[in-house]
Amino acid sequence: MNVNEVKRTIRSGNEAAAQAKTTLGQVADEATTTLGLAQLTLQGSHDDDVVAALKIIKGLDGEVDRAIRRAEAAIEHANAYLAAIG
Amino acid sequence: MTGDMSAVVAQLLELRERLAATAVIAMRAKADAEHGHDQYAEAARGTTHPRLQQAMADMRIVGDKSARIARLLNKARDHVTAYLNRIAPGAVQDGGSHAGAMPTGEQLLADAERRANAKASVGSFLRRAVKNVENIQDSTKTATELGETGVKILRSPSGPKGAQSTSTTTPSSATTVSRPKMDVPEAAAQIAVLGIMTAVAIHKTSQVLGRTIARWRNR
Amino acid sequence: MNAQTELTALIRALAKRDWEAVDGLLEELRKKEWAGATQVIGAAFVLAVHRRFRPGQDLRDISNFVAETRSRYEGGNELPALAMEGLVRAALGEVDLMDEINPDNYLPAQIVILGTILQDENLTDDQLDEFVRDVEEAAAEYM
Repeated sequence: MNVNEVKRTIRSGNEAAAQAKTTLGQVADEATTTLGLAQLTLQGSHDDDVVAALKIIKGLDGEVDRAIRRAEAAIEHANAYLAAIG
Repeated sequence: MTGDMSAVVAQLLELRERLAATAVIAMRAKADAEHGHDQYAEAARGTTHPRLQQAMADMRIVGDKSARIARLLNKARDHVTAYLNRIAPGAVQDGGSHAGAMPTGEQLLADAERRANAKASVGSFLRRAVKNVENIQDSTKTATELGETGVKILRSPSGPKGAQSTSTTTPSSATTVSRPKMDVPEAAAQIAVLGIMTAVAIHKTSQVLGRTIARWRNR
Repeated sequence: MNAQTELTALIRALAKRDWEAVDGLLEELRKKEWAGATQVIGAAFVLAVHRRFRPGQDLRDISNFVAETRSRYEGGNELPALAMEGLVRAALGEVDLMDEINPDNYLPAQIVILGTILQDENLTDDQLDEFVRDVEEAAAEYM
C-alpha cells in the first residue's frame, strides 16, 4: 500500500474504534437502566443469586469505562502513527 | 411474598430482557473493535512501528473486554433466571436461553410434550368435575354466584393498609404498594414514590441519566 | 345455550387484568347463568396448572403456591387451602381427590388459581390466543 492508502486504512480503523466507543456508550446507558430496575425490584433481598446479579450489574459501568478508554488510547496511538508518517 | 409479587415477576422478566438486549449490544461493540483491529493490522503490513502495534493491541483488548461484558451480562441474567425459577416457577418461558439463541429443539419438544400432557389430563378431570357438580346434594349456590366470587377475589390484591382496591364496583388497574427505601438515582426514586411503578418510567429516567454520564465520559 | 365464548373471553380478560372487559363479560355471563363454566373454566384450569407444575411435582411446591396465592388476595382466605391444593393435584393426575372437595369450591378456586398463573406468566397475545384455542378444543368434547 502507498502512504495515502495506509492513511485511509488507519482512519477507517479510527472510525471503527470510535464506533466501538459509541456502542459501548450504549451499553453503559443500558447498564444504568438495568441497575435502576434491578435495585428497585430486588432491594433488600439477601438471596445469593440476587446478590450475585446486582454485583455484576454494578460492576458493568467500570468495565465499560475501561473498554472505552482503551479504544481512546488506540485512536491516540493510531493518530500518533499518522503524524509520524507525515 | 405479598400482593405485589406479580409486579415483581413482571419487572424481573423485563430485567432479563434488558440484560439480554444489552449483551447483544456488547457483542456489536466487540465486532466494531475487531473491525478496527483488522484495519490497523492491514495498515501495519510491512511495518512494525510501535504506535501502530499498540493501536492493534489496544483494539484487541477492547474486543476482549466487550466480549467479557457480554458474558457478564448473560451471567447476571442467569442469576435472575435462577431466582425467578425459585420464586415463580414457570414464569420464565424461554428456558433461560441466552440472547440471540433460538429455542432449541429440546425446548420445543418439551413444550409440545407439556401441552399434549396437559390436554390429555383435561378429559378425566372434566368428567369427574361434571359428575360431582351434577350430584351436589345440598348446594344453594348458583354457578353465577360461584364464578363471580372467584373473579371478585382475583380483583382484590391484598396490600398495605389503606391502599386496598375495592372489588366489583371499581375496576382496578394498578396495585399500589409501599416500597422500602432504595439506593437509586434521585429521579427514579421519585417515580417509585408515586406508587405506580412501570419499567418504562424507570427506563426513560435512567436513559436520560445514562446519556448524561456518557456525554460527560465522551468529552 | 352455553356461554363458551364469554367464558374464554373472560379468561383472556383476567389474564390481561382488563377489568373493564371483565365487567362487561360478567353481565353477559349472568344472563347466560355461566352455562358451561364447569367445562370451560375446568379445562383452562388444567391447562394453566400444567404450565406451572409437572405431574409428580413436590407437594410442598404446590402448598407453597397455594399459601402464596391465598395471601395475595384480600378474599384469599375464603377459599380452603386443602381444596385448592386438591384441585391442583387433581389437574396433575390425582383425579380421585376431587371427590373429597366440595364442588361449590371448584369454580372460585379454579378462577383464582388460573387467573394468578396466567397473570404471572405475562403471556404475549399470541401465546394467549394459543392457550384459549387449546381450552376451546379441550372443553368442546365435554360441553
